[in-house]
Amino acid sequence: MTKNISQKLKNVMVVTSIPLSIYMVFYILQPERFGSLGGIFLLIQQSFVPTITSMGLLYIIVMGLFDFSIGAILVMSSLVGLSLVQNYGYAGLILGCVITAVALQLVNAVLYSLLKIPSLIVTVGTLMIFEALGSFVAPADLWIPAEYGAFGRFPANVILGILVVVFAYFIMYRTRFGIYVQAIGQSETIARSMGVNPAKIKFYGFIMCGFFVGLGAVSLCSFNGGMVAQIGMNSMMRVFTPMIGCFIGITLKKYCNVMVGIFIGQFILSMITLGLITLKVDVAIQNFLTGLFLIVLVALSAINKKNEVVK
Amino acid sequence: MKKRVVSSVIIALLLSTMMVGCAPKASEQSSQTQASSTAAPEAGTAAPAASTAAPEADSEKTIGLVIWGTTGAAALQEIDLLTKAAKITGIKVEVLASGYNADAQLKDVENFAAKGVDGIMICNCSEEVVAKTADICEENKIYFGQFHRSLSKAEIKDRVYSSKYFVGNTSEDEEGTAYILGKTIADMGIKNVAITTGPHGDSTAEGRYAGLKKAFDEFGVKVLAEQWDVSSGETAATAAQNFISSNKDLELIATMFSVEAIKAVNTTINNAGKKGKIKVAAQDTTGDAAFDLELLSSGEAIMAGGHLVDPLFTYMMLVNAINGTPLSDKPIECRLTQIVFTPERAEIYFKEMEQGNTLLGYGDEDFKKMFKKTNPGFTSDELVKMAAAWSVEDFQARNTK
Repeated sequence: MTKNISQKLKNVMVVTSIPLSIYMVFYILQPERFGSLGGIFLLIQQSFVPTITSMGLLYIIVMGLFDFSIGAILVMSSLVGLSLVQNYGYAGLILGCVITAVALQLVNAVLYSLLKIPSLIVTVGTLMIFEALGSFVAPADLWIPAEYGAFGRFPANVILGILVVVFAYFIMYRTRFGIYVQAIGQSETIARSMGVNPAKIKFYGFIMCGFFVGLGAVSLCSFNGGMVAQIGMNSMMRVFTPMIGCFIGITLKKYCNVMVGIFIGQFILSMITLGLITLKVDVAIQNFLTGLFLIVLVALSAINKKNEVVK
Repeated sequence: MKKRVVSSVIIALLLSTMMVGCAPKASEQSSQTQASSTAAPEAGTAAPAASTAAPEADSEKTIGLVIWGTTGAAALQEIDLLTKAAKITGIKVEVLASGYNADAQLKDVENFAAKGVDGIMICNCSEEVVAKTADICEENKIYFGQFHRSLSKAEIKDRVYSSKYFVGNTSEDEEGTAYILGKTIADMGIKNVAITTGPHGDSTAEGRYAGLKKAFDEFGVKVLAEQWDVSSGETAATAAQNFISSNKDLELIATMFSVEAIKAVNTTINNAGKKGKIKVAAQDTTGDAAFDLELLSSGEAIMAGGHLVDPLFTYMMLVNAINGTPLSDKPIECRLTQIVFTPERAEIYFKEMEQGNTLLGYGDEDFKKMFKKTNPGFTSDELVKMAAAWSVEDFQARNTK
């Protein structure tokens, strides 16, 4: 019992020490401009935007799949939601975003299941198709009327974020589907021998991803204030922030719940960006340091794992 | 055997999927082409009755437009302007969009050359792209010109200007306008600002930043924070939120690149409860006239812009050259001055120039004036003067005659 509590305390310390140490570094360097309560609160709000999309991405990354079309789905579903918000208010925005994202992920799921080719190739193809569709839906930029922009502001943005994280946790850890997703992630062969149908679960994994990406679109277009269609694979950049969040979440899985890990990952990324901006560091160096941080974090986790095996 | 058949089917499906995946560009191209073609009917019908009608052969001539995108207010307005000019000049305009990616832009140039277009106009992402474009165009005997861009690197400039196929370029005095914008901000008594701008190496981003910084240094405005490579609403909103959270004294955010950034920054300011406390400055307009007017009249924004007319001048250089009636035997340099908006200027610009009978201040009669087939006496000097004079006041003067 005591061992259990001390292990939990150790985990909490590990998880909190990473953002805390980053906070301290920037606070020492820029005490006047970094680290105010208001500033940290804005960072928390900012971190929920990619966290919501990360929740969706997690369902397929865990099963060893990948999805490059997430960015295009975010754009396309935002455009549909923004087209509907004028006439149908929040219902139009939310349903437009979610239904579109689920429908587009259904396309990915069907193509992946039928063609049996790597998800990476399928989603690169659909990325370009979805981008083109987005430009047909709305060639000009679409903007959210101020009266329907609540999901970009406190408290609706935080409430949406928390609800999504809780729901994603519930599905992953409290439903049979979630257990199967994890089982496939551990070993598809063993999962199959246990009677799990990986093809079916992967299919539903894409759909579940679409649901969360749809909610991510609601959050994103409310945060931005609007959306413009993108072509030429430009939307692909949007997949990387949620993806990095997933990687950090999976890395921290040993110490905390993966959903919490994802949020902490996004919070760390937001904090690094803010810290480097306050130091007036050039954007290229910002990217360099963020990349370096990710590699160091994952490497440290891997080393830690190896040491445990040796023990 | 069965495996082989299955593999072949998978490969075929994979290839077709990829082909479909590539469809956007093709479809985009065809849709754009279609749009332009419909807008540019046979020269005989397109050319105005009062003019020397463009000969039948002209309708076969095509100009390839290499632009950053075909979505968003700025690109749409510019394509619309060229489509209207194409209707009068009896030329087809085809569009390829490749963002700000050098390889993709050169691929577009090569594709246009392979297709046999008569002229190419490019909003290049780097000067090296223009040097390579010169090679391709010389090899294929195609006229080419730049819009929204000029050349500053001596070696590249010498190379490009020595090409007999280079018609010239149109650009804005980015640095000069940014300086005026910066001075206007200082004159308003604003002391603490943050800046977002585009990628390093982009002459527009660099020029605007340099001009603004010069004015701020000169007039004692403190730059609290800056972020480069902000070219989307999302990156602008994130940067704005970071600026707000880390700078209590922030009075203004200058968004010097990307049309989307203006609205995104404004939304972020409102969402942070700073409406009226933090202003927005921009060297672009959003393309949403009502929004821009409201922002300017409420004093929440300081804007310069209206330079979307720029490609028209390069288009006219090209059209005249490919029709065998070049305006000059040397490259032409058109330089526009952007409008620094006052509420009065904004009223005229957004209500009459953007949304009235003319497009960005120019109508059919102006296109005819710049086209040698319909105005044989037109010269390069006149084109340069027209571009230099472009302003709200110039528009008013031309339309009250």
